[in-house]
Amino acid sequence: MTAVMAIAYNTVREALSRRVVLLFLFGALVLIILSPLFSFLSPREELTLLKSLGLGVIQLASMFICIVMGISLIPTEIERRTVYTVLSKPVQRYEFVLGKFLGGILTMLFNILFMGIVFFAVVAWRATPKQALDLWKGFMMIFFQMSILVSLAIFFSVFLTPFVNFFMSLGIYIVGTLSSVTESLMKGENRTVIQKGIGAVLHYLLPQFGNFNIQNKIIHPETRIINEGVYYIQNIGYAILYIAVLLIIAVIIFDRREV
Amino acid sequence: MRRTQLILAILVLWVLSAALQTAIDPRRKQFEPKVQGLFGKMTGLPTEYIFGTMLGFREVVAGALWVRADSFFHEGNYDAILPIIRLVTWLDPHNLDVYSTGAWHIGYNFTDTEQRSDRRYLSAALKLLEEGVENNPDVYDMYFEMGWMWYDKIKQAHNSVQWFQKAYEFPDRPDEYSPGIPPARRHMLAHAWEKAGLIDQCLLTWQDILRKHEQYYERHKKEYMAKVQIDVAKHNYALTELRQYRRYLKQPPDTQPPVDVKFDVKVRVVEPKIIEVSGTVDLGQYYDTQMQKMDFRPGRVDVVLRDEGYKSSILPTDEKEAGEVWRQKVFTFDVPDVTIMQEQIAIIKGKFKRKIDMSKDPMMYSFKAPRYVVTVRFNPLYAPPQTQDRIGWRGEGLTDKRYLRVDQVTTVDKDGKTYTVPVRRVRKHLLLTREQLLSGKGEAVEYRLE
Repeated sequence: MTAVMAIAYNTVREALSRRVVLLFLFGALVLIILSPLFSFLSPREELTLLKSLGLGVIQLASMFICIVMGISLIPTEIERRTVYTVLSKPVQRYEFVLGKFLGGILTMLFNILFMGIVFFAVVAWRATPKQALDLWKGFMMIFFQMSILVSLAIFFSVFLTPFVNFFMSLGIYIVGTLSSVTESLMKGENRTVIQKGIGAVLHYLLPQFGNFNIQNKIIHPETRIINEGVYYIQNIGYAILYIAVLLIIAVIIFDRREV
Repeated sequence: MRRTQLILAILVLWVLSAALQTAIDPRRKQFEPKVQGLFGKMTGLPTEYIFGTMLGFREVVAGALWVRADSFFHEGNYDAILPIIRLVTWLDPHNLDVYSTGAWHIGYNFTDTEQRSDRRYLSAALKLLEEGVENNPDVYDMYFEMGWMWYDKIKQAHNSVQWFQKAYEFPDRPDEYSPGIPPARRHMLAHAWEKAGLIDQCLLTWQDILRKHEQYYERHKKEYMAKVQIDVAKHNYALTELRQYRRYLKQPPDTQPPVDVKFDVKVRVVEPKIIEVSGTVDLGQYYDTQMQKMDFRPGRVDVVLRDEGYKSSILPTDEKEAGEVWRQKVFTFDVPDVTIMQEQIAIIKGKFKRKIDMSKDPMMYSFKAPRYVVTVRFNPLYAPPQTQDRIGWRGEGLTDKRYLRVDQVTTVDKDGKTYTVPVRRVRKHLLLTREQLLSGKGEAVEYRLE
């Protein structure tokens, strides 16, 4: 566990010193701070737009940070040959993968918290305290969504080049946000057995990032959700299970790689 | 061995995640729009917006599209607004503004060159509001908007009651973000009962409104309007009670004996696709000389021209006001290719007359049918109170030797309870042919509906 934490610590330190990560973070912060200026887009619905824009920016910036960081976590170590130094010590390969993943999600946590605090301040200035506090549900769900994305990028990074990995991760993220579409493919009327089968495979095999998009409830606080807490717990459980599946497969593949 | 265990673990975990996903799916729908016809909607979304919606900017894109729709509206490009309204309600089904403004656009603002609404779109406007209600059952707004559409645009208050009742059930709105109803909006329920001709229910509602306003005032004494609402409710209650006494309860009531309005209508085609509607609704003997000098207008007549055989219970024609299936089952902007024109003409000194030009709007008035029915009606339920002082809310003080009709108007409340009252109206149907309308010559003949 010490080895895992040491790898995670170093991963966070390296990731936070990368210019591209800081660039996304800085860009997102600027957009969040300037978001009240976009209220002209929706007269009479300024707060709706403010919250939608802020949560969207945090989600988008987190996604790019996740992918850009995740695709290079392991390949960089292989490229720089530091992986040999690490693995020559009494460190198991699964510990290395797990350490990299932990480092990745801690970096994400830092980024989301940082953007979240700034955005919370912007909204608190315009809205009631309760409305501003609701934002933290959104930040939490974005964090779990991004944790799956980090594990997905790490999974691909053990057998794909970073370039291919970038597009694979991005593509699966986009398809995964369309949970309702894959579900309608699977269950919709007037669909052939083949279409339903493809829909089911996509729906259960791909990570369902769309589950975590709860922005609409935060943006429209008057919307009543039945068993809201249960929904969040189920999704957190889903994220943990899915991450575990991806990391175990990544460990099996990484074990077989000649590194 | 270790690998086999890991693969087994993967399978177990994946099955568990799939089971969780199955449990998540129905709950997820609470956070997102419905997916019926999703692909059709996606193809309608401009390319520059698709990526944004996928990456979590759904409401931002909805806002941007809505602003675009607004600019189209100001340019008069109404056709471009329709798909945008649809997309925005899909992207953000909790955006109440889009439903209410969208339904208003569809129901009120698609007009001909003389500002007459295209009545073919009314069912689409109602369906959009119905969808708004389904997607936002926990706020008063959509129920109220639906009530308003029936009350104000369609002028069938008996159909608005149940919607205003549903809006009325919400608690008073204590702040901007609560799902409560602004206190003054409760008044519409009482007005709807009155215009449905159900005065006892109207008075009971005013009493209840007064109680609610007084309770609200106890909690919000600093609000200036809280006190004003009490005064308004008291005033309206007293006025309605006084009118009920004068019109029905005192002996003899002001509405008796009935006044013969000598109703008659002529419809002439004066130019191609231009008709002149003229006639009499003589309430003159009710007003003394001084009142007649004041150019007092006792109300308006409704005029409807439509394809022969086209029936719709949302037109003021009354062949079958209840039970007619007119509603869209699925929201669509496709309207039937029929000609429907609806107009109101003011009665001045017992007479009404107006030229109605349908020649400039072939999209709205295609005149494809061989024959057209013109219905002219005077409806006491929506007459001004001064006129109702003489003829009553339900036309008890109105009669006519030839064209009096007694319609049974049924109000169904939110609990399904029905209230049926007889309403005395004068109404005449006339027939025009396509040849007459296109040639610009001819006079309508009286027509008996089956």
